[in-house]
Amino acid sequence: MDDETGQAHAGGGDPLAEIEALRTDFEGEAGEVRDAAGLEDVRARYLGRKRGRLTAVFDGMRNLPPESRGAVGRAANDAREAVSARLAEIEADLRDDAATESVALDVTLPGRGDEAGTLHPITLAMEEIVSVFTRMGYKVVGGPEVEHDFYNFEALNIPRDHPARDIQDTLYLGGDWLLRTHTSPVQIRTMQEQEPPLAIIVPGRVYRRDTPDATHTPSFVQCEGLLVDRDITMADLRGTLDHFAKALFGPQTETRLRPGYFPFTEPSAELDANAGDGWIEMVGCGMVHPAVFEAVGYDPQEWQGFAFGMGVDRIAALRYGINDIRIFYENDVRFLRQFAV
Amino acid sequence: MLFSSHWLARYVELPETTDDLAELLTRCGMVVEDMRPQGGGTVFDLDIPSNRVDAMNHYGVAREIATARRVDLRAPEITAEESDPGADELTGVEIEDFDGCPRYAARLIRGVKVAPSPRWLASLIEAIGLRPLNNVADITNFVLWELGHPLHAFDFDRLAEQRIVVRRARDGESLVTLDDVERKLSASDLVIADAQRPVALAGVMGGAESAITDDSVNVLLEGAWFDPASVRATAQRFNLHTDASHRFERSPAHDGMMMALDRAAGLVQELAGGELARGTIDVVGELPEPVTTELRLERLQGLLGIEVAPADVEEILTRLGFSIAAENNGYSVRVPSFRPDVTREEDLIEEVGRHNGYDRLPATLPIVRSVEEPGTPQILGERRLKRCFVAAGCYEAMSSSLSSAAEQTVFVDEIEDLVALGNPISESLSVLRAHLVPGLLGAVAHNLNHRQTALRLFEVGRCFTGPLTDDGVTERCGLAIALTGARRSDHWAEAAAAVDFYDLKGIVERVTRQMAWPKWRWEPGTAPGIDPATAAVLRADAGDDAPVGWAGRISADAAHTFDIDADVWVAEIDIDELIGRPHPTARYLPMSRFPGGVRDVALVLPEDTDYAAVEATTIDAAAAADLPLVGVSLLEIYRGDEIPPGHRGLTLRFTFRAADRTLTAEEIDAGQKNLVEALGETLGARQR
Repeated sequence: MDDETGQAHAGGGDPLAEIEALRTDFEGEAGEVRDAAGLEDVRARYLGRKRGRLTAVFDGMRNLPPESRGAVGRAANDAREAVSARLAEIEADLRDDAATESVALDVTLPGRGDEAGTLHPITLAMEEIVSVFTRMGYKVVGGPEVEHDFYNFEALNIPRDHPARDIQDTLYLGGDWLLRTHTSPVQIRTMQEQEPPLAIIVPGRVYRRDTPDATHTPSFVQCEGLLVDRDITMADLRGTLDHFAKALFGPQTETRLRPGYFPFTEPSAELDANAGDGWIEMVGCGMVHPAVFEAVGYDPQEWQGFAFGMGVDRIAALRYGINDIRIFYENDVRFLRQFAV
Repeated sequence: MLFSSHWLARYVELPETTDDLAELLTRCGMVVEDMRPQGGGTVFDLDIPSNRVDAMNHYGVAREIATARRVDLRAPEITAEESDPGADELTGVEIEDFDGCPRYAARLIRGVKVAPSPRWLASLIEAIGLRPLNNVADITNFVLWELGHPLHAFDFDRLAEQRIVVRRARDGESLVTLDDVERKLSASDLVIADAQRPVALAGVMGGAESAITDDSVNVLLEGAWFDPASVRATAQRFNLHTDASHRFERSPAHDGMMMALDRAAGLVQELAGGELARGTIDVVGELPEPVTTELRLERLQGLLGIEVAPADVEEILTRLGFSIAAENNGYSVRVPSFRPDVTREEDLIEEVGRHNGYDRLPATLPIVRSVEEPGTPQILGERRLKRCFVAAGCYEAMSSSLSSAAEQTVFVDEIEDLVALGNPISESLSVLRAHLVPGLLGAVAHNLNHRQTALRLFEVGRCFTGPLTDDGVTERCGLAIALTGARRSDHWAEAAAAVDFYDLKGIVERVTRQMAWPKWRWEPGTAPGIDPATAAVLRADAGDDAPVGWAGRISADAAHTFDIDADVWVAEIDIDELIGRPHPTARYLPMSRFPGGVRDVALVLPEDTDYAAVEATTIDAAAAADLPLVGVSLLEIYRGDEIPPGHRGLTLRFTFRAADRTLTAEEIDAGQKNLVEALGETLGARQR
């Protein structure tokens, strides 16, 4: 196509026929456009101010008899809309093509970047346990791991010659100092410092003079809870621990409370849970022994409360399907990697 | 503790099935740890709570079953028939030490025929794991496991002057016990003696010489009550834990021996014949007062959270052996001597609660009246810190706080600082960790052994240092990191370089920033266990404050101690002061809306001028001249032909920007010139 052709069409003849012809020609040329330059050529040939064929039709309208101007004008406007729309479409297609690589990426290759680390499974389990109680309003507190006999035993109603001292074989440092055998001393420390009511949850390391095997390590992690107020009952203890077990192991979990023995609770109990695979011993618990309240200066006729404790290693083992708790302390990265945060 | 269903059935009607019985025992608080069929019945291994000395025998367990089932308990039949003369005419008992032995009772049976036990008796005691010896010895064992009171049978004719003296041992005395071990006695050991020498370790074990043999004819049966602490001390001193000491340590009924002696005497007569001398010798000192305590129904309901009908309360307590008398809105309850564990109202509430059934308690949720933070600042800080490390690609490790002196001393200046255990489990677990790095190196060694070579481990935990004083030991929160191997996992596009010091430092800096902690100063220094060329110490502030941490590559010695064959970069920092800092709320600083300018300058500096000095000089000079410098950073370190020996090239980037105007090129050029001159004057830097 060349300029002469365009001029020829614009020169004379029927403008409606010319419009029809230029639309047909335009469709053909538009299909041939491969790049931006080609697009601009086509635009100039049809819509160009000087030599555009459609421009020429508009220019020629003033020479038409008034009665035919309406029909020609409508046809010319339709043509201009169609041409403009088609040109815009081609332009968008060309932009898309430009953004495309010449060779497609292998999108299946592995990505790049630093891996995040992981929290230790005992930390994960501990935070899950603790969060059930913080949601109920308990505060997380800690205490020293090297303890005085008073806090670990005496104040918890375990006097010197008490046989219960045999149950928890203790690691001693010298004098009255020892490695705490449970997190319960933190109950005493907290009650000495604060007036009731109080609600605390105490995660922490504890120590026993146990030779390491599949179910024992000499240092392990326990979690203790204590709630003291005026009218706390054993039914509250049951309800709280039942809620805890369901929160941790799922709503289908059943619990049962059965009698147990701890010198610092009376009545004492054990909570067993069954999440579907049979009953397991989960939490030791009971109503705070009046002797413990007396040791910290609370009036046992005025205040009541419950306390409970559980082995976090044990619960983590149950939760993650681990049958030898020594693996927790090996820190094998093949193991650690399995516990993405 | 083993119990036989056949044996229990002598005193109580059992549930129909073994499983029902097991369930019932567990619900009473006696957990069935194991059970196995035996001779048509079942042997249960029960975990009897350590304060329930009354339930450490078949009759006691039967009492629990009878109470739980609300059926009657049948006492064993006493068949003893006594005849003249009286026992006190034939023998005597003298207690020298009433503190150690408040009560000693004895019965005498003459003319017995020692022989093997009949089948029924042998099979009962065999069922619970005991070895039958002869009828007399077996009867004492049987009565112990029936009624719970340990008895001892002496060969009466082997007692010098045929009498008993209860006293402390004298220095130099010794006793061959039934297990044929000669025990050297001390003045703290309570013994049963005859007129001349000890014949039994009181409450723990009898002597071999006075034991019943096939030739014994006359038998003195001992039924005593000892001070629990004294028995416990002796049993511990000799590491001799017997069925008898286990019970005496827990204070069995102080009158339990009377029924036990009669029961045993009757059985001896039945199985071995003989004449039972009339009367029981009973020397009594000061015994515990009987306990009477009140039980208020209101308190019962207030503690359990459930109402228990008075009729049920009465039935439960009565069946358990308590004597009750109704008192305004409750009871006055007299505690039987076999329940030393019950001393106050709450103990009675447990008895009622237990037998009423804990499964009847409603599950209620209490209102927790608390408006506190969810945790202490330390605990919340630790939680945040761990997550910062995870984001930095580190794996949290947890190692034992118990360590060995050999491992800890690698990183410790003063060995006296280590806290040693008085009764360690083993040499490798004999001290408390003073540092966390040894634990991490243990983990590194483990991983390297399992072909895991790229490691980024951290641990946050307690570190302990001595000396042990009246206030205990020093316990502080520490933080440690260990890095080794490739910087990141291998990638197809680029090989990963090995980690170095600056990876370690970068992690520390990144975490410090995230925690909003003040920056530490990193200085060259020395630290035990760290290769000196790579060692840095970290200080909190300007000045000579003691370092709070150290970092570097572990020394060859340290690597050898931990059996590691790799470059391991470690850092350990005491964060005790920082971990509880509240995390500050961010304060918005307006950003300049005006463009600034950047200038890169290549400088040559003496090799021993550290970068911290370059940065500090730049910032000081900018402040002194009031330059609009907003940043200085290091682009490159260059060592090449153009750099004279003993020097290095540093390419710095200065960023200038003002808050209130667009800086002109002249201002920026002047700023750059000023800084370069200052670096020249102060540090001898020249532009390349």
